[in-house]
Amino acid sequence: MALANSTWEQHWRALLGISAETAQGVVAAGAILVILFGVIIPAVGVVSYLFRKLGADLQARVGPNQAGAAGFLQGLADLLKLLQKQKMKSEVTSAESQREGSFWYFGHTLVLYSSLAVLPLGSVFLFVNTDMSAFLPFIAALAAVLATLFSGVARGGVASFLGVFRVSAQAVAGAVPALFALLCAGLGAGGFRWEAMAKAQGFYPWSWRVFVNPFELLAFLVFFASGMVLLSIPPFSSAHPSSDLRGGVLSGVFGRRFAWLSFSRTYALFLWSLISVVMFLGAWNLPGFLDGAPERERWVFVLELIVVLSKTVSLMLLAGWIERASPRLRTDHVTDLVWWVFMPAALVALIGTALWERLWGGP
Amino acid sequence: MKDGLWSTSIAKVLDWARSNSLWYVSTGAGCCADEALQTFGCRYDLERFGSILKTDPAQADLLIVSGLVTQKSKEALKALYDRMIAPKYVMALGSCANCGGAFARSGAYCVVAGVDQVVPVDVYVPGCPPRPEAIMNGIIKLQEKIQGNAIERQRPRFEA
Amino acid sequence: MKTSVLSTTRVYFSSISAGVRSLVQACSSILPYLWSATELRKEVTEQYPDPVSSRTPDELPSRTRGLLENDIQRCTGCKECEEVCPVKCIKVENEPGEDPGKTWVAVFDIDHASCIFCGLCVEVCAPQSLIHTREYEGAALALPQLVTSFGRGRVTDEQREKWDIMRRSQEAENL
Repeated sequence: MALANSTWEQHWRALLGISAETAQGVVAAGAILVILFGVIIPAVGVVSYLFRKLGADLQARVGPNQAGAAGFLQGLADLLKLLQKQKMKSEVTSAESQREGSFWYFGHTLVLYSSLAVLPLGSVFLFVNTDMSAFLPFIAALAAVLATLFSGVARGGVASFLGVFRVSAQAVAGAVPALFALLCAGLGAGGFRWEAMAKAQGFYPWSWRVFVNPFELLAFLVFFASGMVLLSIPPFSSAHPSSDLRGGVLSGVFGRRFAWLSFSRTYALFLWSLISVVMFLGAWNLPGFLDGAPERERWVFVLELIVVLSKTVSLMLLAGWIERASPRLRTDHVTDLVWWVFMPAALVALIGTALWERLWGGP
Repeated sequence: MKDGLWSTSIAKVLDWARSNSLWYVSTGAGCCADEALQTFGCRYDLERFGSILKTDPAQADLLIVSGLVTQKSKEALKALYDRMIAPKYVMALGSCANCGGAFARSGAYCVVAGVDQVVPVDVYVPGCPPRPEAIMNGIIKLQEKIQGNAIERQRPRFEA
Repeated sequence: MKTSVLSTTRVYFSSISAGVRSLVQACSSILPYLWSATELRKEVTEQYPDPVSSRTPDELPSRTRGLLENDIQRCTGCKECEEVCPVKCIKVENEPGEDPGKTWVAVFDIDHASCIFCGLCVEVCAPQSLIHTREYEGAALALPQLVTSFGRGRVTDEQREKWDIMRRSQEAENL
């Protein structure tokens, strides 16, 4: 396993102040908790607050402003409220199938959060640093879709069952071009290791992969858009509505499940934006004059985190802007768009990147 | 004593959370629904209070009954209410929802004389139809009720 | 319509560019609501409990029909309003008062829960004591709280005796 020979352990021991005798698992657990509660939850919380305020501002209204200063605690109020919801006795589904639904629902979130271990948040945050690292979030996203699908089947009812078809059709459609675009990034960077992808780029925009190679710009657009299709992120979310009368896999989800759902949907967007940033938009690279700084200085890691997170949040806000400006596409339109436009574009990008690298590429 | 202090402050926080996140479903008929839709819109923006329009009753906390309830729609209203998950609240909007309004008083056979005959109502808003501000006043009243400090305010009497 | 490889390709690319253009157009069309020097930037929301950004009852149009109010000093207890009310939400009860010629309006209850704010009672009110205010804040947690009482209250027996004594002494003085 790559865990043994990587430097993450020493960094984290230094950061958390854990002595060398403590087991590796304790360090890993501590690190994951720090990432989850120190990075992921604040980032997702802030972004969902910004989304609500952005949506309100674009409609010339105020948005939440009663809970806390300028409504900043609105998300907390919603979360605490959802946790207080009671259970529902359902006549439609049996207790057994409800348990099954809970299982798959739990699987859905668990699989998504398993990608925490491979999140490329900076050079120290890499736990599982293998040659195939870049595929792991991709596989986690696919597994999450699969779990969503089964939870829809287990919930019973016509709406969920039809929603399953939509989700699976859209996930298959989104996965293929995303995979080709991922191959482009690997070709350009010379490997699927996060470090390799970061090292192929620099801090300044002109050294980002998207601007070095025009085919990779195409690959980036295809990767981000088809990732949104794969994870059913708006405006490609019609397969997956949670609050619409049209129904779907997750309609009728309430209480703490709904809280988890909303969180993990925003997390899915966060995950996809983050890996897009690392693959195409300069990763966590700092300006060149910082190269001389001692590698294990804590503030270098913090700077890396700030750089990568600010790019990620900007990309998420861009996605939110597009979501609020454009109508939600119908599922069959989404799949048509993917197969007719994204797929050829991904192939062109792949061939183009290969030729570009062969002709003008590195040493 | 300390436990009591802790539990009351936690209960206060939970009450605050419930009162500031009243997601609603709305049944609309007639002019009260027009005013209610105005209230949900940009100019009177109920989202300021953390209230979002939900179309799925399972995700909603507040049922806003605006306008008349007929004997035929009684069943649907009951079903909608039953589909919501406790803790849940009901707001009756306008005279027809409060007590049947002009229809029940003139002896219409098809009208339910008040929503409270079908579902328990938490807050009544007078008006025919009530202004959007009156609806928001009802929301604030409900928030006060949830937070447990609603003051029973009587309109001032004219002294003899 | 002629179809060839060339025309099909042209249609394909033109529809892609149309899609991209419409996306860019949509995204840029909402930008003025975020950043611009024009009126679009401003929020239209009236933040209700705040008297600065929202309209107070005084700023509403003068003929707004809000909650009813009765000046019981001027009310004669003629029951015209009770007669004309289409929903029978006004309840008036009179008693003989201090002055035998004048009525004592013991009960004047307006049930705002069923009032339809039609304004008929205000129109027929001869002494013009019953008016529509511009007030609208009347939400209540129970139906009986929506009943507003303006009456002077029932006259107690002691009060009536006191009045009798007063009247008799006055009559004696006059004689």
